[in-house]
Amino acid sequence: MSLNPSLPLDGPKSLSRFLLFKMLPFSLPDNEDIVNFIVTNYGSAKKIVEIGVGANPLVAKRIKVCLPSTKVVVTDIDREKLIYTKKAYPELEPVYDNILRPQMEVYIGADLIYSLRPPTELVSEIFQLASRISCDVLIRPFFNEEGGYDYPKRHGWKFKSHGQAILYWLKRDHL
Amino acid sequence: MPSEPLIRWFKDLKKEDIPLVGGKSANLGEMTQAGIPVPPGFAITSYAFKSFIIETGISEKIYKIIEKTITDINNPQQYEEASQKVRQLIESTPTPSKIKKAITKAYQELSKGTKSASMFVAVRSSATAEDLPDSSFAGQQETFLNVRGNKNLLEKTVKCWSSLFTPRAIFYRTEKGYKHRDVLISVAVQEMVNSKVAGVIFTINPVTGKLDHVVIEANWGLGESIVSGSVIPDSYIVDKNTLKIIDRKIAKKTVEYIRDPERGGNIHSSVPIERQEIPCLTNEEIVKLAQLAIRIEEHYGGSPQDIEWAIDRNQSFPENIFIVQSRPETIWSQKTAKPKALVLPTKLTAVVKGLPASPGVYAGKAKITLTTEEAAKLLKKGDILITKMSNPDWVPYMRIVGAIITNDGGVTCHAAIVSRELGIPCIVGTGNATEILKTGEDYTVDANTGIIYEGIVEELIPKAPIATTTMSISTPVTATKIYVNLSIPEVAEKVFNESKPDGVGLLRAEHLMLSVGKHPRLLIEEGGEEKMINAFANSIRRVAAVFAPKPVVYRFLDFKPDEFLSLPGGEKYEKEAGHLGPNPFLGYRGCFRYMKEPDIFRLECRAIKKVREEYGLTNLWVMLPFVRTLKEFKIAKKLMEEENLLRGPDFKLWLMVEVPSSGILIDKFIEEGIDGVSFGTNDYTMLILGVDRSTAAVQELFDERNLAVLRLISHVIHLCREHGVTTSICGQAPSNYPEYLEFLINEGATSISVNPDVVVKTRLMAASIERKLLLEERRKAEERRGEFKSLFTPRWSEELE
Repeated sequence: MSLNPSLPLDGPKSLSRFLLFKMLPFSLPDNEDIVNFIVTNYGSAKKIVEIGVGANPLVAKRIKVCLPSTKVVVTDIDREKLIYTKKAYPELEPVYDNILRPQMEVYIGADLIYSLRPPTELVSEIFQLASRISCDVLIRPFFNEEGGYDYPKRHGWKFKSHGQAILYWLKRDHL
Repeated sequence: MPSEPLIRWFKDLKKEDIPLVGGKSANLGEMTQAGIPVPPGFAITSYAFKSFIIETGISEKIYKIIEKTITDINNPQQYEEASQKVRQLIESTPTPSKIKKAITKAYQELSKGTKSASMFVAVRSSATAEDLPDSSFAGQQETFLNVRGNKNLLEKTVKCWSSLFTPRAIFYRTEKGYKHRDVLISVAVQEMVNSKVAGVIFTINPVTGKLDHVVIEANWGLGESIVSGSVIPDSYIVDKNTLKIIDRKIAKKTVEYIRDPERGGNIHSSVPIERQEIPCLTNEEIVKLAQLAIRIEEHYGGSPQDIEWAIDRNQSFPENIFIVQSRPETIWSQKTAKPKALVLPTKLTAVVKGLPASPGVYAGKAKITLTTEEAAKLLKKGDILITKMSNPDWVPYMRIVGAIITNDGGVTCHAAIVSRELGIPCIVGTGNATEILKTGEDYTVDANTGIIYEGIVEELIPKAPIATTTMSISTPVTATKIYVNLSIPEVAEKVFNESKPDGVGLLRAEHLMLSVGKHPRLLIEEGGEEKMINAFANSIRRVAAVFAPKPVVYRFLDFKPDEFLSLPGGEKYEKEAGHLGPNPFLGYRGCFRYMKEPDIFRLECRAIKKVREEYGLTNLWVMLPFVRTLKEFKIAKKLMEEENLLRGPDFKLWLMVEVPSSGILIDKFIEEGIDGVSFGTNDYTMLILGVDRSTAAVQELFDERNLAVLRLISHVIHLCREHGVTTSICGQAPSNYPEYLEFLINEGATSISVNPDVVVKTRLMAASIERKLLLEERRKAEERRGEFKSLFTPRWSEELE
């Protein structure tokens, strides 16, 4: 644990640090399909969590627009990006969390946790977390050399093609 | 400011009210509604506090004082000073009469139906950090018990408000990155149980993390004696499944806190001898408490709870049992790793024993400090803090020490909870550590067993961070190196400790770029070159430092144009620039990009150079991905040379073989100068078979074991072996198919690089394959020498005949 002198954010001066993210949102070509998939399958969800939202909460935001009564929580380990998210998207619930040491209360009660392009080494952590709290998982893999079709092969996950989106989807009953 | 209520009753509160009334009151409301026996009460809302500081005009003054006083965030004394000033200001400012009236009216209503017109209440503060829920810290703010009468209640309310600015609370917010003005405070006013026995329950064993235990700690009188850690309580463990009491430790209970019937407040009184060593709970009460605890845990979705309870003096069982508060247990519910039991070494001098409260071993200099003033003078970073008992004001000091030892307290006391949260070893309930240990002497604190030894006991001190998975001692050494694939630096240390790979066979750059958060071209346009170099160098350094001297092979950026679109600048520099085609897998990517946009490639080269030269991490090598032609390769290599990255004994250049052309022409690449190759089997297979990895309809064709793929791998390995070039693989095929691993080792691959979760498994498999190959070689050699054995006949078979 180390002290972070750059936080908390006080006054407009420090806002300049967030200029980097001002030009968002930018979206991947399959973002809208991912949103569709989630909204179609989790229309009555009470809570949905995006793990590792980074500086681009566009998918989460769209889910919130489509499902206004669903609690949409987004997590990351980068506080600056979370503060940006909080300011730019007040309808979302940004939470600091390290997936390597997850705070269970952040996830408990979720119907779905999902992650967009997570680093491969975190996939098994996400998988474990989902199995501990018994909820569905959805992953949009990073299609570089290692991404792609490995997860389903190794874990017996369901491969789901939805419009342009290629997703790995595992329902809680199979965890 | 929209008008909100100043007072809310527990029975009407829900989780959603947390911003207004804080977690404590909202929880009490939830439990009341769930039928848990909770003493009634109300919350003075955070809006009341907000009105108070705004209407009296002290709001701005408060934040200015903090800003001006705290100039060095690592100096605990500045927190003390800021706190003192702010609290004085709050406590000396009169409360507006509107708020006063609302509080006294609610209090009178609560007192209705009791014998006296003004009942005893507990007054507790509850901070409301609206934005980021984070770990609940023990005793965040103030609690006053046995408060009676309007005047007292109002006075304690203001004290609760001012407790939002204890040194520790200010420190905590600074550290966690909360903005002071975002955090408000609410006050819970609850009927006081006049308890004969009270204590805490954890629905998880707080020391071992065992989930099927309920741990109950109990002492005579008010529960405050346990929460503050000033006594060693009785401790009972109940099995959640059978409700059997599986362990009980009856402590000598010499002190109890009781209500002062005259003036309110608490009296610390000594326990009569006949009650000191008898259990303070009956079996019936223990089981009832465990049942209630399990119900509460279930109510909160199975999340382990930290519960305070009390048994009323004047009522009879079971109506006399009350739950005073419950909150999520913050430490063990987050961990999966459990402390390892250490074997006690011999010939050690144990000086003090106590209860192990937070696992770990630490050796250092002892500092006996009984007050925070002493601590401010004496304590240095890394000391062992020895005191009677800690309270919230100690936290800034606890943060800098290496271990904590207290005379008093049980495993749920303040010191225990905070040290577990901070992750430092802690032993509580030693009885007399402050008298026996000496300031300035060296000791070794073994908080796994609860024993403090004289001097520095090297054999006890963990050499490296404790591994969370135990590797078999007989982990085989393999001739084939087992490397790991990584894409973020955050996991490097964990992966290294858990599975001890021989190096990093593939360090991906793509997530590093995503963390930088901008398209590299946009960064360059804005003059952000240094930013990118530094960000990359820092991340790469973190990995290389963990693994040194083992090699770390960094693969240069291989973004497909579509993956860039999520970054600012992506639209302009990929889509509008015409880089985005219908099949990004075959598009503008890999080594070709370095040729077309050398300035971006040079930034990566400089980051590599910085790590190797400035940080001295020469175990860092590089790999060029997706190389289609010799020309691209030559140009990239030349650019590297211009950036002073020259191949040599400790700087290797690898070629990632994933386009068939690079495999077919491997001899030409070897001539050109490479030290190693690594197969990227996913793209290699896709391109050899002509199967698009992103089209679901053709996935059944995708198979890395196809003969065409195997032949092109075999060809490359053989030519590389001839020329002393190492061969590796960083695709998933070897971990998906055991026969693939055998094929690669048999062909002569020098290393295998796999994802972190399969390193150990792959190493074991590789070892058995290597042994099998040796055995086969021996047989072949025997055959070659014509050493054919006659039919096997053991001696005992003759005897049998």
